[in-house]
Amino acid sequence: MSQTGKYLYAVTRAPAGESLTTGSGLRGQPLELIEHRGLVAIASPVDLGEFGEEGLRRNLENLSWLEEVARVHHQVVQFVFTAAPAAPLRLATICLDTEAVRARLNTLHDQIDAMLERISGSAEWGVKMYLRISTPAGSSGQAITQSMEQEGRTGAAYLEQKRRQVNQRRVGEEHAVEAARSVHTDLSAVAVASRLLRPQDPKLSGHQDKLVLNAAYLVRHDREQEFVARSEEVLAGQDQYELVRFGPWPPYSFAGLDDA
Amino acid sequence: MSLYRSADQELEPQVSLVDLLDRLLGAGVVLSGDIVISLAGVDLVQIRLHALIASVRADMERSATGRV
Repeated sequence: MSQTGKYLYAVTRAPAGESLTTGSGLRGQPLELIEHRGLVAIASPVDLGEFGEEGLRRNLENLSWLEEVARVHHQVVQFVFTAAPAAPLRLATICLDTEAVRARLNTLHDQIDAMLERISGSAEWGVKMYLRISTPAGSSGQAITQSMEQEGRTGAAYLEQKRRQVNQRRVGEEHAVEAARSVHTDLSAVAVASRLLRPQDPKLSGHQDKLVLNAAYLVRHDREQEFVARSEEVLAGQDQYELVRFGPWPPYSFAGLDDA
Repeated sequence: MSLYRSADQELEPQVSLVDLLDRLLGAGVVLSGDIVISLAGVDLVQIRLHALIASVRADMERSATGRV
């Protein structure tokens, strides 16, 4: 290995259980606990040939490299999170040595400590809501076909059909925005905090239906069952929508240091 | 093929890379590391990444449907 640095996964409060050192991080390297003023950073050594500025620039464009690093990062954060409230760090946060990590913990001590207090006892749940494109809301596609047959396949009929389809879709989407707002309000009522995430490009998610809600909720452990139950009943009987829920996760979306 | 294993995590279904990156790149504690690209380059990285995934998907779809 050439020169090494410290890859950081998460910060938690001391004392972090020694059991954490049984875990391994990127490239199978052992996890290290770096303690400073009551905070503990969980790190592992990485090769700066691979994780240095030049290496990262190159490797981040390699999808399989990125995926593997992201999954190991997530697994380590999950592992720490099962033991204690933990603030996840952004992907690819790397310091040159232990002293540099301590210096960061020192500078950000009060902010990190306050943030750990906020997320303590809670986990993040993700919820995505889709409007199914295959089953347009409103009147059915069958009605259009029938009326077309009656009118004959003229250009005017075709344009009329197009116009109705566009209109139908627009109305369906307007309803979906309303429905999404209502789902978000309902779920937020069970959560400590909530956050709307940016919409995902269907090309990236591989999901062709229209994403109308991409949100994260910080939910106390003792209200998880309530949150899950509510997410399951909130769209009951409305088959034009699909709701995808995942969690509990470490509170990635709520670990910002500037969130008051 | 991950190098990291623990009993609990075997039970978790594979989460989508997009949902993971939404959080690993778009959230979490931003602690200014010594390797600057991790912060300054994030937006750029995301854009490049999106372009990359889009092209990978397009390739996969083409080969799956047999279209050119």
